Amino acid sequence: MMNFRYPYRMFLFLSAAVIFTSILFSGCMTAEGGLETGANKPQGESRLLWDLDAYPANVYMGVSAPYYDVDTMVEKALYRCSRNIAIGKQAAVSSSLVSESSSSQGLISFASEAEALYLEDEIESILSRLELLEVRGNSRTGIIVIAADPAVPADPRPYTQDFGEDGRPTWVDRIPDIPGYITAVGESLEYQFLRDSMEAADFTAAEAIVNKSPRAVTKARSYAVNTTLETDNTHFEHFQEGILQVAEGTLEGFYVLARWYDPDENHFYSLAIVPED
Amino acid sequence: MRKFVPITVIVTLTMLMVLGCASQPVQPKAEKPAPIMGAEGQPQPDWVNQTPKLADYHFETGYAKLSNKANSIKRANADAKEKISQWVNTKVQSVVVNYTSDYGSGDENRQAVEAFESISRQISNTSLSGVSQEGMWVDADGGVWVLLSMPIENTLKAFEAATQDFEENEAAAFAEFKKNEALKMLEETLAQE
Repeated sequence: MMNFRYPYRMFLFLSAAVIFTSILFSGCMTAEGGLETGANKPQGESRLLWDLDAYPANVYMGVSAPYYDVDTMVEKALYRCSRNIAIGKQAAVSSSLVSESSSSQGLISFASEAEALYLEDEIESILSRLELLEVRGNSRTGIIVIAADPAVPADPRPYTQDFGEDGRPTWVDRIPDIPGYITAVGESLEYQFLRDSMEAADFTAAEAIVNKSPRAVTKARSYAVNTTLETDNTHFEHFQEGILQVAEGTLEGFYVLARWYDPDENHFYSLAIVPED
Repeated sequence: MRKFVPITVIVTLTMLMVLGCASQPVQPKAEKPAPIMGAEGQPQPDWVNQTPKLADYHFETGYAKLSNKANSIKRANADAKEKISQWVNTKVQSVVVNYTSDYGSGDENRQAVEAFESISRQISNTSLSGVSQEGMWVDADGGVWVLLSMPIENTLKAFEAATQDFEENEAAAFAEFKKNEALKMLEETLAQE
């Protein structure tokens, strides 16, 4: 039974309660930012892990899932890095879209599909020349490597990120105008592996660039049917339309400037560019 | 003289009061309507309401609002490209059907039913190149507007690609005609012999 007759005892009890509560809350915080995959989602620290703003535009990022030792993770991450460079150098992207709508049902269907072809043969030579600059993340949950490609000019980055008060990059909500470049933002839901989620977001950015690029060729087919039926006491009108479009283009110099994960919407975002000329 | 001073003061004050009350005629100000702001803090661009026109370029706008911004952008782009495609080449097929039915027996039971049906089908099939996205605006509801342009000289390429099939068909029809003509000549020659 607590006895609070004496003020100093009450003070001691309150102090103990405050210290206990502080310890409890400190225990909830994690000391190190990990590179989570799957169910462990990257939180705010992803901004720091994925931020390449301090590096020139010949620096790339590669991600590895957790493996039994760090060397294997670095090797895997460097392979992903080389793959990103190969895709960026030249990728043939095809984006298809079908959509149908009618006056009675509104939007009946909307579906899109995209594919990209890149030269896998080049990855080996890219891998051999990569210069490893930095290894980031927590080895228990996978790592990120930052590497430079000496074959690409170390030009300054054409855009550096701005962040809102909540830490959200401004480019997520408004695609920035970067002179001399076609810019797009890609987004993807989370997949089981972080590398897949990030690559899916990169890929939708590439698709968006093809759809707005003057170098792409779009095959467009469409139909629209208007039907009117009248009898002496009824009048019926119906409209239905459908489109099929396939945009194809080759992206050269595709580069992902920034990536971000939104934990509230569980979405991955990528900001990518391609030189206009 | 002393009587004159207060009168002058009163008159001067009265004049000042009257002048003070007079106001400049109010010019009706042509107030510019407040710009419509979008979801990203950008004012509505003029091209949303009025599609630009240039001698060398054809412009079209597209709009879509789907479940997320990425899909809305895709659909809006497709919408604008569809308009360009229709502008380049559209084939319209129409059919009008009039049904008449007269049934029943006797003067009282006999009925006539008439129906009119009109079906109009538009088909567009083109290959577009050089289409650029000139602008994009997200309205307050999250709907995406895009402005696309295409060099007018590219319409010829699009038309050529689309009409290639037609030309091939025409060539085939000509060949068929020549073949029939040759057969007819052969038949005539055989008959004479």
